[in-house]
Amino acid sequence: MTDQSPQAQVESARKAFEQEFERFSHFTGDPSTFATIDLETAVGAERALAELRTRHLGKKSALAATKKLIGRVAPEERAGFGQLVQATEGKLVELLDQAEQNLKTHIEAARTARESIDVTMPGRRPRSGHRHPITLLRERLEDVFVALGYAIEDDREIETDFYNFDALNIPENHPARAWQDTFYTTQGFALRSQTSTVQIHAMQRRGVPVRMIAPGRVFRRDTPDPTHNPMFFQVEGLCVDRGITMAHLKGTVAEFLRRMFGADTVTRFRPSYFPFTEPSAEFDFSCFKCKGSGCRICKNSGWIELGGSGMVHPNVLRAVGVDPQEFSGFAFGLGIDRMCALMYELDDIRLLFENDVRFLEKFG
Amino acid sequence: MFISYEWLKELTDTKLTPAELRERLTMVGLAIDAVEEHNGDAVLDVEVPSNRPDCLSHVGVAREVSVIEKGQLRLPASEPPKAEGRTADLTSVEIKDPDLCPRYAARLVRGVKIGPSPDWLVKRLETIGQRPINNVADITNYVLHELGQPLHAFDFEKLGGRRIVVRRANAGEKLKTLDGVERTLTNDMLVIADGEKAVALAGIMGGEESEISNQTKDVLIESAYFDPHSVRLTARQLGMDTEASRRFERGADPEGVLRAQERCIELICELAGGVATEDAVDV
Repeated sequence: MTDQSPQAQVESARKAFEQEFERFSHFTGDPSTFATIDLETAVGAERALAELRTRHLGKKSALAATKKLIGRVAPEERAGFGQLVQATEGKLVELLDQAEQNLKTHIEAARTARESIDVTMPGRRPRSGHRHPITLLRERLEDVFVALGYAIEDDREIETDFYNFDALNIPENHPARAWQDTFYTTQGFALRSQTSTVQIHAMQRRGVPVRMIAPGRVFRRDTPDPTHNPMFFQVEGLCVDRGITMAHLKGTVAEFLRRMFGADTVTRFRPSYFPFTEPSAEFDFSCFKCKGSGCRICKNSGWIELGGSGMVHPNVLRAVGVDPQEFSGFAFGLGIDRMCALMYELDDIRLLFENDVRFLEKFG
Repeated sequence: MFISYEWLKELTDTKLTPAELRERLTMVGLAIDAVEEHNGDAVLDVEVPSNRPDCLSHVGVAREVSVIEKGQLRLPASEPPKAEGRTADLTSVEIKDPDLCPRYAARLVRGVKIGPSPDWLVKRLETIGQRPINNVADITNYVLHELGQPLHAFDFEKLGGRRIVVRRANAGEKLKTLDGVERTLTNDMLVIADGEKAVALAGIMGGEESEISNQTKDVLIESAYFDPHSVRLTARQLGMDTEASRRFERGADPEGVLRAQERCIELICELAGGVATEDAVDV
């Protein structure tokens, strides 16, 4: 470097600057060419330019060093040399200034844009979920029975034949094993076809006297249609104690229906048959919609069928080690989804299992 | 199960209208889903719970109605048939598996004329949703719906050795039932056989070969009691469900065997001619 003539050194200082400034040269042009640069990049460029300025125009820069070389220039060329240095310096400063100015403007604009808030925009509302209508109904049912002194029980959904059939007085070859076509796993376990299984478990666990309801999922081999689904929900109740009679059953069911559908609800019982109760009955209640005058819900009969019930069969009590001579009990059961479809006038209970948010968000 | 109101009225002089019957029967445990009008008659669709097999017939329901109304039950009666000869002289019944068939009665009517059934019979069957075939077959069907006892009529000529053997099937034994399906049997299924081969699925469906045809002259009427579990298992294994199997599965009346057979024979002689044997072989 020191062997070059002073003029050449000025020239090389200028060239070195231009080389490094090359990538910033667009900042000296039309601002629209760099309008898309983001804030972070722009700030980085600003810093780089400042650093460039120091390196090429500062006290320790090559250009500054050339000023001291005036002594080495021939006296008659000194004025010209001085002007060369001035002009070069001026040009560099001008370029840097322009670039920095444009960049600064851009940065300010970007910062403003980023930090500004449109106070006329609507607020953001967090979306809330919805509880499933079956859950809502189950909770209502639970409330009614807890108020009557009942405990809530559940147990496993996959059962052995003992709990699903034998303990419920349904021996092998009994026709009931057919009409409740059951799902079996490859290991021979049954998916429970009624929550009466929970009653058996509860009696084994708690002993008697006992008063409980068991809401839960049950499974039956049914083709899905508007009133059937292979998986659905039941709630079954059980009350075993000394001196329990069918009058207690009728009173409990009637009270439960009054609490659900209104104080003027009438209940009726019809003889029926279940293997695990004797005598057995099905219960209906007066239609909540038409109050008996006849409508679509009650198929013009004025009555809505809801569930089955009966006095617990002595064989069932014996199966859990309870002496039917000392204890007696009643049991009842109904389909929660069916009740739900009735109350909300749904045409197809499958709506309750498809989990379509558009349906679910209509509830609580 | 369909019950004809007019038919019911013959068996018990009910004062209740079909609509009233629907209400009253439902309240005693025989739920009636619907009442439909059919050709001037009312048809009740009765849901009989599985612990009431006695109600799986018109007489059964009539019995219930007469209890509800404190009325009288009038059992059907027909002319005693022209009779000649003893069944035991003409055929025999051997029950090899009495655990599955505790009672089997066979009786013959010879010289029948097969033809279409009279109008009243056709109308009765059609009202309750049954298909008329020929007079003898229809009569067995009629008595099933009247008394609840399933019966079967065999073409006597077609029975090898002209005798009946009630036995378990041989493993792999084949039988073509009268719905045209060839079935492969297992050795826990009960069949009605003749001296050579299986001719019917006991309590479920008869075989095609021995079914009544227009050429049939001599008829053997079977009236029996079959073990409910066995009938149920066999029917399920073969995917079958017939009016007969349904009644045997729930528990038929062992004491009704002879009365139903008598009624059937009487009607055959009346409508298809022929001479019955005087008594039945009842094992």
